Amino acid sequence: MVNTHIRTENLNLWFSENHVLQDVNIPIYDKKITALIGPSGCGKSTLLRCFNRMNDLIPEAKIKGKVFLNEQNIYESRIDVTQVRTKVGMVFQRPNPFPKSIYNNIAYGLKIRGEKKSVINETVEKSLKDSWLWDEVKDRLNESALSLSGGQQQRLCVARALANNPDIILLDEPTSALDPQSTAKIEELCTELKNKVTILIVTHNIAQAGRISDYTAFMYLGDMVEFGETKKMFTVPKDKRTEAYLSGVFG
Amino acid sequence: MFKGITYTASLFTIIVLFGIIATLFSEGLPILKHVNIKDFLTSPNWHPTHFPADFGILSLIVGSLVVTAGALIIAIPLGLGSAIYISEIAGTRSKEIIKPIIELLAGIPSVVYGLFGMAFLSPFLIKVFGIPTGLNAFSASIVLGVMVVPIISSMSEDALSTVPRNLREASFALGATRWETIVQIVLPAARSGVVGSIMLGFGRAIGETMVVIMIAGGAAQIPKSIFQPVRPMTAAIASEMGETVIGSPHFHALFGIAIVLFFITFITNLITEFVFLKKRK
Amino acid sequence: MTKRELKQFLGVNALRFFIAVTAIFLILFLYVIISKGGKMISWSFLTESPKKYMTEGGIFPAIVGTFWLTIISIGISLPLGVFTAIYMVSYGKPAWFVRSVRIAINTLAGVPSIIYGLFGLTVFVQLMKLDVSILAGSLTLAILALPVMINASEEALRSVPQDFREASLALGATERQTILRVLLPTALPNILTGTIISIGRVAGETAPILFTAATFYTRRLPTSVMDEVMVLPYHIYALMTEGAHADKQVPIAYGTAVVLLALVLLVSTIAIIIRYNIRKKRKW
Repeated sequence: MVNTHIRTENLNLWFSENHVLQDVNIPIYDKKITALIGPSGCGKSTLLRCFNRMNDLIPEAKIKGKVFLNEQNIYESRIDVTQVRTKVGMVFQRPNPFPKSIYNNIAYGLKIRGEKKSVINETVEKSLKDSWLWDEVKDRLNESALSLSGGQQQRLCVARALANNPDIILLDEPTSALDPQSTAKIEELCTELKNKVTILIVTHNIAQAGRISDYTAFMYLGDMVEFGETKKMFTVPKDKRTEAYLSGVFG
Repeated sequence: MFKGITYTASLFTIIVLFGIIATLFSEGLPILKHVNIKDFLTSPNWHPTHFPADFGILSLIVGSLVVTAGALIIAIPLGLGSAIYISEIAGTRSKEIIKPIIELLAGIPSVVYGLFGMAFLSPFLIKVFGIPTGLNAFSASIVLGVMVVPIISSMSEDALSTVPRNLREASFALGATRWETIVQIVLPAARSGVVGSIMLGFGRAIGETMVVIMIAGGAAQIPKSIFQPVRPMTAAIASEMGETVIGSPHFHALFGIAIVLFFITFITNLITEFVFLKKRK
Repeated sequence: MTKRELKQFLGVNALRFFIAVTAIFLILFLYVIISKGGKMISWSFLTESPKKYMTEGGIFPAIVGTFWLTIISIGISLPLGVFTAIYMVSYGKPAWFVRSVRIAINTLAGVPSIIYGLFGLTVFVQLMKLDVSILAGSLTLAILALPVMINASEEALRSVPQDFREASLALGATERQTILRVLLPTALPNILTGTIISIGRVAGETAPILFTAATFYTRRLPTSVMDEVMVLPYHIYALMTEGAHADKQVPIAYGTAVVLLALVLLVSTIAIIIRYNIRKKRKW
């Protein structure tokens, strides 16, 4: 039996006049990996950014509908956005470590919440271990994060998100800027992490979705076309458009 | 042929720089025949027209530094504050309007600021503070500070804008507030540009002539309070050059002041360059 | 409110406060100048010579003086600046030379304007025996404007895509033809913008012309570049610091300031509008 961790209710989003998400309804299940796929411009990244209210940062964005996180609508006015974002971690398309030391990158979220030094130290180590980076960086925690390789930087970003002890991690095409080896590592990491957190990943790589996800949502032109178990969808897609996309007709 | 012309033009800038340095030294060094370098730099007695004359420029240097420091105390929070506001908080539309306005303000001739200080601010300060003269280090600092705000603001804003958006997003996504993002991520990332803007503001303030000649009050003394008049280096050069005999010790002393001024701005420039070069690497 | 929210609240409002203080001061400044000076502006103020030792009459000679100083100095520094920029961008060798030029430009840009005045006094007025004259002042201002001019031209030339240049060379054009027919025409609007900005700067400078060109009071217009002239910024300074009739001189100074301000702001506004349009239209 799976529990719903997040769900949207008739979620609509406009950028100025442009209707980017149209009545999206989707459940995200607890401790599973859900992949969002679809051709570029279909709104999959935009949808992802609705789950931690990152679209609030775009002045032209207008949102209607609801997003429930543990049955609490995060778009209600009394919601503290910073708390939502602490609970919902995010990893971006390009690795974006801060121009600070490795240690301070991980400690950032904890420091701004005023955690104690001992807690921070502990969490930094744990997060780095959870993202399989500890052995590579334990001797140089004070070096700049920018000295790491691209793949390491991306795992650092994962560790940085983990340090906030989130329930959910959103990954926005996290491997599109990485080489195949680093990509494999991130994929493995995801399957490991799903024991602890719910994972939602946007990917333009169909094979990747097939490899790592339990559920897949296919989006097309702002519509949620099909949602289901990955295995089923990849073998017998219900919708013609899904079938076309999976077989590489467009994308 | 064409290449030769462009080469000569480039060479000209180097020649001009050396020309300026040579001029300053050839006209300025002879003052050391009349006063030793230690007294020149460390004596506060500037009485170039007395007999015997005193050529100590310490009070002029102090005058410059006091007014410049005062100007920066005003200009840094105002300039940096408005730069952060424009870059991080204002919307795109207000940004598109405010930015050019600031650029326009940066082009206002300093003599107009001087007029404002003399004819409006100074009488106003006498009324408000009950001080004997409104032409002093304080009023010069205010006007100079406001004059430097657009310089610091526009250059800092440029530096803040070059901080990649994805760093801000990363910070927000970790649950940081806007203020935390500004203080802990954006400002540190733009540090070299911000420092550069302040150095540029410093150079502009210490080299400014018209504002201080009109507003600082002109007394060659080490001020005991900011409400006393001072005579910054630039003011001394500009106001006394017209009254001195070419080739006289006084004339050479004014060029000597210019050497000191040149060195201060030159070193400021070097430091700025160094900070930027470090950044590029 | 949590401590974090409080910090956010205070911080953002501090920024609002700073920008408000800046705006209020600048608005007050412009208001004072324009309201007090605006009253003085009339046709005769703009077209007549000063009378009775600067206590009456207009500022026409100062307008003419500023016009000539600005035009001549830009006329000198524009070609110098563009040529230098071309060398830096197109030839750029040997590296040590380019670096030296760059250091020279950066240093010159930071030299206080009064030092340019001293240089002009020594070299143009005394050494070249030009005396206090339009020519000596223009040369001094030209040198002062040079760093801005070079930087603006260089930026303009560098913004021309490398492809354009390569395409031209690939078609068999020489380097010189490429520069004159491709590089310069493409960069021209941006160079013009830089030039206009320098015009604003040069027109408002006072310190460099104190001992090289400016005179307090003359009733006649200059007849040659060897004449000394009245100039708008210097006129403001002189009205405020010389003469014995402050009550009559200060209003004239305000009036002169409005004319100077209008001139400088008009010129820079034109530059900003041109640049805005270029950026909008640019396809590459």
